[in-house]
Amino acid sequence: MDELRKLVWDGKINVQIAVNPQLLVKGINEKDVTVNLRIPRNAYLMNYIDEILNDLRKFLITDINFEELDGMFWFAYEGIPLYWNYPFGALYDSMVGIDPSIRYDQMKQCNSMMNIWKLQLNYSKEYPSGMIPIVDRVNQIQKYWMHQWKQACFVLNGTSKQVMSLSLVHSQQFWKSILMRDYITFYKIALKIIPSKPRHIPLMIHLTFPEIQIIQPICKFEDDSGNPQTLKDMLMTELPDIFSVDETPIAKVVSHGIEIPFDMPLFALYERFLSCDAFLHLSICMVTDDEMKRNKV
Amino acid sequence: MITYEEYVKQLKELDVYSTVAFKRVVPYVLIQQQQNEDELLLRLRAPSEKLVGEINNGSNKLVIIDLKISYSHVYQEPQLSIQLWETNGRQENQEEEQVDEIYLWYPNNINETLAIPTNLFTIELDTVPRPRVERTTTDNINNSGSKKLMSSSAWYVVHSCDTSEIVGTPIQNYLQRWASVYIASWWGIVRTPNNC
Repeated sequence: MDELRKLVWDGKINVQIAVNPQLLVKGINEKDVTVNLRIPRNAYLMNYIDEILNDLRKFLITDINFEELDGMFWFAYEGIPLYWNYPFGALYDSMVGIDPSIRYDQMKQCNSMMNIWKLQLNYSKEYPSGMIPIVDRVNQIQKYWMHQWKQACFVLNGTSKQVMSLSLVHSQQFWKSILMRDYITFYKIALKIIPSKPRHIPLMIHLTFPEIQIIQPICKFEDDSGNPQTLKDMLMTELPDIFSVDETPIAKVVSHGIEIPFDMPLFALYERFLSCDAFLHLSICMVTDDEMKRNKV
Repeated sequence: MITYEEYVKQLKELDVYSTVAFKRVVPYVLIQQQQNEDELLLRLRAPSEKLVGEINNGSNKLVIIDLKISYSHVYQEPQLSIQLWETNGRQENQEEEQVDEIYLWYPNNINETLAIPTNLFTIELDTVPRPRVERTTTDNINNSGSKKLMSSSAWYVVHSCDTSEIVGTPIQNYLQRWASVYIASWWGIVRTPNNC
């Protein structure tokens, strides 16, 4: 389990950030201004905003006051705002919606050996709908993340005490473990909060069809007969239109870029694939027509 | 903790105008709206005693405070969410009547802005989820506990994690006791130069 957790923790995505042309100094070609970086799946995109702005600052129009922002920088993928408050890997899996099994073929078609997610940096005084405004920079991201842990802790244990009783030093170490990519410290503290037999499992399902929505079901560890609840059990309850007993599934479930088998017990999945915010993020990805035909044969 | 069914029942019975917990709030109520069976919105005129010192956002001015009472299926507790509206003094003409334009305002320290003591409870910006409508079981933390997040504006959400310890466990008048702590306890605090 440790090896798999480490692989999940180390997952990164190649990102290329372009800038909304309206933010660029006159005469600068938008194609000449991009930032390339690798962002861990288990991190918040906004944690990298200072690094990105440092690279771009000289190209941006001067009336953006970086010290006292009266608006907000935000990122978009194909014009759709990305909600910074979900781990980056979950955003990628849900927004791109690429079936992992065809990703390699798509890269080959593009004559590229590298998968790069192309995003655009935007700035506006009014926030896109559903976006949490950043009003206190990195402090706010840290507090939001801690709030997620408190919530997940309550779902797991029926109380948030395990998180509330962390010392200030441990809380800071916990947060820094995400910023510094310190796998050992992260799990050392996380495993003090996650019980071996939880009450419920903290879960978020990302759907992008027919509209973007996130479902936060509260799933029991075991079913009424005392058997561990599987991914399939949960999907048939929460998304019966997509996953039913009789029909061939029309979608796959992806977490950290990996297709998840339907018969996997949900808590075993949680223990291996939980994200840095203590939730298990599952993205629903539609099966291609070709694959549907193959499955039926 | 309070079950969803009991919460809905107590919310339905809650009369803001005759409940002691809302005594100080009532003079400021502009709109009271039951948005659905588990959500109550109170739109309040910002009281002048909360408008001294740094409460004014530069040239802008806090004019409206929205309080939303909803239910947290995760914590199985009532949940308070807050939105602030400011005006920049500009007016728009609506059929010959001058109406102030108002905008959502997200100050970086809501506790300071509303003079809410920081040791009272934790408040964070979040998107407020809407609970699913479908109910397939009476177990209120199972399917009915699913929350759907769709595009909605951000609110300051008061954390509900230790509500029972603060409010006490008896279920009778739970929502009224909750309102005493989570609304009445800070609404009456008058800002002075020391706590500005």
